[in-house]
Amino acid sequence: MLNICLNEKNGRWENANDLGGIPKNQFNAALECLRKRCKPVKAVDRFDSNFLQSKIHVVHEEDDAIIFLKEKLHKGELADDAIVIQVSRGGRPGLANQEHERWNGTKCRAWLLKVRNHTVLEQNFEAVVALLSMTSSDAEAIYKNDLNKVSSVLREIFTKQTTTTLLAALAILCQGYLAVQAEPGGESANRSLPEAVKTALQDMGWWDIADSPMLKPALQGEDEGELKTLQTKVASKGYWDVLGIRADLEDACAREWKPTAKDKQLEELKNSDEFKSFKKLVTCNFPVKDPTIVANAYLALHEKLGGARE
Amino acid sequence: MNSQWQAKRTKLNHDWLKNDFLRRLRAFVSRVEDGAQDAARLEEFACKHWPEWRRHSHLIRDMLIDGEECLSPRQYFACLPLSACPAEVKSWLPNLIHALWLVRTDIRRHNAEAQCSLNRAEALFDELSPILQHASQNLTSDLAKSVGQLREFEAAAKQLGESIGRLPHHVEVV
Repeated sequence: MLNICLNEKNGRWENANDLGGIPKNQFNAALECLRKRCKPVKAVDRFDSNFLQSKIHVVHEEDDAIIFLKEKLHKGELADDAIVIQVSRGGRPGLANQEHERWNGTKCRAWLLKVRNHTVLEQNFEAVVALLSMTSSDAEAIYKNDLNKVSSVLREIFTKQTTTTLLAALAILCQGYLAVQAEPGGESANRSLPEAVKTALQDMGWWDIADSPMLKPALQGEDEGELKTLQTKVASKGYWDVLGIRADLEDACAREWKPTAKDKQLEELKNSDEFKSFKKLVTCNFPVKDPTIVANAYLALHEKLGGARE
Repeated sequence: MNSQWQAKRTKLNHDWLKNDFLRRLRAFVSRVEDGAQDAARLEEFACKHWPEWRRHSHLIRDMLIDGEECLSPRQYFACLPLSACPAEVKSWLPNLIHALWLVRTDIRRHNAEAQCSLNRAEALFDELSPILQHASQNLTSDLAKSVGQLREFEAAAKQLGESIGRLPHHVEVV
């Protein structure tokens, strides 16, 4: 029987919904697949008596299972060359930059490997299969960042991802939305726009580039029909959806807005004047018909991200 | 992309140009001006440190060429979450964001100033190199005739360092 140790923070695996944000059903599908492909496989957790025989341990980023496993390693109780895989989705970009570790005990050794790309684990259970059937030579190659020696799936899982902050991404999407609202003809042709929109366009630098060759013809006023289409598209759910699950957005943005804030301070921030106009954008319904909502959010971001104002 | 470029800038501008090469150059020119008879030190600079300019100036030129792309917020479309934008959005939004960023940061002007200082320093380096390389035993008197050019070179290199320092220190999105 091959034991695979799955530990979600502080609880029994059988009661868990996910592991580090990766749905439990992904792991179950992968285990089933392994069972069909090779031999009996059992999911255990660290509360099981036979967890020490596990070669693969999957743990959550903040899980104290890591401390627990390290203690067992130093007591020589861990399976030699055990592979400990740390996973955590979203909100903890630090994991992507942490180095893998090689643990050396007196009687046994282990690897601690940090998953870099959680999306692939969420979307493709074959990736979870590859993770759970990793060999010692795979682990050594990943530890040494010698990713050419492992399968393409493992390479994808352990390749460092670069991410942009949500606030920066939102500022960019706001600029796209607002540029599309302006009528051709520069500042003088847009006097009727709401004040906030005019100020945001001014801060963006829009009036200085309105005839730039880098712009799509529709944005230069050469295709009115296409401009109308763009206005519809930037107001749609599809345009803003890249930022992730809408329900989580306000919270995720508040955490970026004030990274040091604890839960209570985050709640206060979410209800503060400082965050109010921004909150309106990340919680409004689609399509985003009122450009003032986007303009005010952009102006708040402009202030927050240190933009210059003439 | 940006962090690699920033690391390159730190290494080339802060660590090498400002805190290594320019300091040695200033000391060298002062010795020449003072007519110091410390031939060993003058020779050490002429043979060992002066030629370093050539290799580093190429790296600085490459860094300046890459600067616009590495500092632009357009690069955010290569990573999550904006890499997930529909292809249709990617066909116009990255260029719009780049164009807006260009007018806000005036980066092309700063970059052109840096290139101009680099070209000036390069030209002076080419003129001065034969003098430094073929200076005879009486290094001080040979070099004394070129003090004016050495000071000009020093000023151009200093100006280059300042121009590079004015380029953005992070990706500015607003």
